[in-house]
Amino acid sequence: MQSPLPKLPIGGLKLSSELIQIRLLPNSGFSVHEMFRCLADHKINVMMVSLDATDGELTGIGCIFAEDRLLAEAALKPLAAALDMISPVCAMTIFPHQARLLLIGKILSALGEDKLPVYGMASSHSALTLTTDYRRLDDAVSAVCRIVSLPENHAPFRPDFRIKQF
Amino acid sequence: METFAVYWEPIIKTYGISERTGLCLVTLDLPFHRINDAGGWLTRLASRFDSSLVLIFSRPATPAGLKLHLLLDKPPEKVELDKINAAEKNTQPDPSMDMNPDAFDGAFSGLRVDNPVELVYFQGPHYGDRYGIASAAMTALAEKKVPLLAVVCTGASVYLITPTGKALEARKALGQAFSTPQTGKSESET
Repeated sequence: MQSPLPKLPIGGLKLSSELIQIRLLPNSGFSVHEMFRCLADHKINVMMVSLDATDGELTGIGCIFAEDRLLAEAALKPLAAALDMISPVCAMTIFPHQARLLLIGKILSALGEDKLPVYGMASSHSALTLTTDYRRLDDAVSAVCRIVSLPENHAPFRPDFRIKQF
Repeated sequence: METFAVYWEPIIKTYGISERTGLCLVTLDLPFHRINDAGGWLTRLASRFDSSLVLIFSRPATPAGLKLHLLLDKPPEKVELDKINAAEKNTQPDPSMDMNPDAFDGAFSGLRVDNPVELVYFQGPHYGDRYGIASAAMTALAEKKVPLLAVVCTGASVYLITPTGKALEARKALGQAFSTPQTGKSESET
């Protein structure tokens, strides 16, 4: 009998609260600078950003907390035709990824096998954050946990408190 | 329970602004329904690639997929790109290549390689909890007309990818807009 493949060790898995993913559509006539300025002027934190200029001008996504939705809709009203929003979204952060394409590839495969959406990704030197459907968060955690091993006594966690800048 | 604390920064603080040059940005279009295959492709690539991953990021792209970016510390060997290109064009690659071309068939399209590119990055206190950081960084570069290929922010980190030869300008522009440990204040004030 074939033994199961060994899991890949990681340090932890962090889950966000409910988010909204805002996308500036390519070639919309508006710039990401305007979008981010509008959000900053209304003191709305964008907790994950992934932008690129492969379609010409910078375009891409930013995630805000669901509680800021109404404020963001008002702030972004001038750009409304240039945006779309996906909700509810959750950010799942895996750390550290240690630049392991093997780990990232297996995580994507696991999510794909379970027909879980990946709406966006952003990494830092240490952590990989990807966004998926908030309503299927438990499924996403199960899929990832088929691939990774967590330290003893560690469970995927949501922060108990949040810091908000006024 | 809510706790309020007052903290004021006249200039946004960073823990330092760093740069890297000689990087390679690989961009691919990945259909949502092929994410499973793409994961497999990345897994195979990991076992063959001589490059190290610096960043990975993506966003939705029409009609139904992801624009996937890999920032690598050096370009993939030409043979690897030839294989991907062959798969993209659905042509047969050199038979001497031992990787199965069918593994890529249809999983990716829109291959683009920007090489070399440069990276400027910085971290700061509670960036993940604060508004206006990305906006301030992009504004600082726009004012100095420094072009950007990509912007990635997660946690307390901000990454800005520029065309080759622009990282130094970007770092200087950021150094004027943000506070650094070297100066304790904006470099424009020193």
